[in-house]
Amino acid sequence: MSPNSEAQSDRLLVDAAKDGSQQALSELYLLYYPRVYRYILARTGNTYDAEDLAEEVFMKVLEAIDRFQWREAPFAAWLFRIAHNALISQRRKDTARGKSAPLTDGLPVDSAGPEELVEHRLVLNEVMDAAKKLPEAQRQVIALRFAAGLSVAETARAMNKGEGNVKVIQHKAIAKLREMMGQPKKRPKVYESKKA
Amino acid sequence: MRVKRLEEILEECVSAHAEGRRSLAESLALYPGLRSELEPLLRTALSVTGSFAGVAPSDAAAQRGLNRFLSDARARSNLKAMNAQTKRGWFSGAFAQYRTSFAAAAVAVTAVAVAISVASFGGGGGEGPNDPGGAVGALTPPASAPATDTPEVVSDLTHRIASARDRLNRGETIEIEEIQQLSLAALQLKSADRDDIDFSITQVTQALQNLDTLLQDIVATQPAVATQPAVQEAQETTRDVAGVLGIELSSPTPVVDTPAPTSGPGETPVITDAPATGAPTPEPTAAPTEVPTPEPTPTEIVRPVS
Repeated sequence: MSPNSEAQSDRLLVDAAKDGSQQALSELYLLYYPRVYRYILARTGNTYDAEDLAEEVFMKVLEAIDRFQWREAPFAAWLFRIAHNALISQRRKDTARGKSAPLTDGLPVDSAGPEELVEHRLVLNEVMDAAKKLPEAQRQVIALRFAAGLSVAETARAMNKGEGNVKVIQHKAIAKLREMMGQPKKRPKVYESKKA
Repeated sequence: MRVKRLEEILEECVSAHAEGRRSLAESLALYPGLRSELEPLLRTALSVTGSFAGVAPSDAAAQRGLNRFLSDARARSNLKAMNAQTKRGWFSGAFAQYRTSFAAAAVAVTAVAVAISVASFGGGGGEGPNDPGGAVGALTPPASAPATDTPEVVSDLTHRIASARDRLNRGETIEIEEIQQLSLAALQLKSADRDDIDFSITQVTQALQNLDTLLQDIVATQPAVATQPAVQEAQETTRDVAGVLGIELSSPTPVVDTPAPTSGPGETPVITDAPATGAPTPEPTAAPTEVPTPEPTPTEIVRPVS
């Protein structure tokens, strides 16, 4: 689907959801819940926190969707701002309560064979460990662009920055990740082939 | 021609790959002069993308979240519809809620007017003006102050329940708007921070239990057809919120000495789970008789005899 038709279908879906259509709300949830989950997972490294917090984000979406305006931001940018705020709020609480969220040992990965699964987990753990050492803005760009799959324009709106700025931050983040992770070794073939 | 900066080329290649327009090799072939710089960056970027691509939440978590999301959406939509329905009658409802106060104020104003007229006409009967103090604006104070460390949503609900309970016990009518506000306050618990709820789970459980009991008492003592859909909605919301929060509500013992409302087409069935052993008995409610509403006293103008 092209970005334009994707945006058009998002608009129809969000407008129907604002009108209270259960079908549209359900579709919106199924479309965005995994992306919000991956974003939070990329920021926290904890699957349980990611599941719970992603659920909370959607409850906040329900509260606020009546006030959502297309002219202010694309829906994805608006949604991930809510997710980011929820994350910050959660972190504040965890800090106040002295709770730390350790990285989950086994990250759930949808993969085919056991070998691929192990390799996938290794790569993911390596990426998340390295990303933890990045400055905040770079971590945020990595989480939004690569975990949540937002476009540069959406990432820029979600972070309240210019697109050019996001591209620069992304470049720096990737260069740093490369330094930390070393030259990527053999990766599952899917990374190097064209996406269907 | 403007020379593209590396970050722009990198982004262009990442997007092209993500949208399935170009492979890594095709992108590198497009920028042969930058290959040595671009290739490691692009490989790293694609590696990061790929590492997240297969990550997914568990089916159970996704389903649980979807159920909660949709049930909350339904409850909100029902409340919105009910609010729209009752909007027209809002002013009369609001007036009915405070009619005792308005009536008292009317009496007081009349008395003052009489006193002034007596004084200005030189009657000087030796009696001072009536003291209207306390009659105006006697709104029900909160029956219990919430604990300071209680989350706002919980204390708000507790406050509303206490206020409604107090008024019901005094034989006052609980209006549709107030029932809807109770329902909304309970609904807020669903979207409240889960840690806050867990932190004050005892108060939350107590509040939901009290609300459930209160609603049953409203049904028992206030069989007005107009309020029944709102009560039913609030009962469903209460049970739904309790279910989402993992709280089991015990069914209160039915009030036996309360005359049951006569069956009618508008009668709302009360949710009747089997009474659990040791279920708390609801507080005795005030006599279910109709509360006499003081009619505004007609202004009696006493003219001085000339």
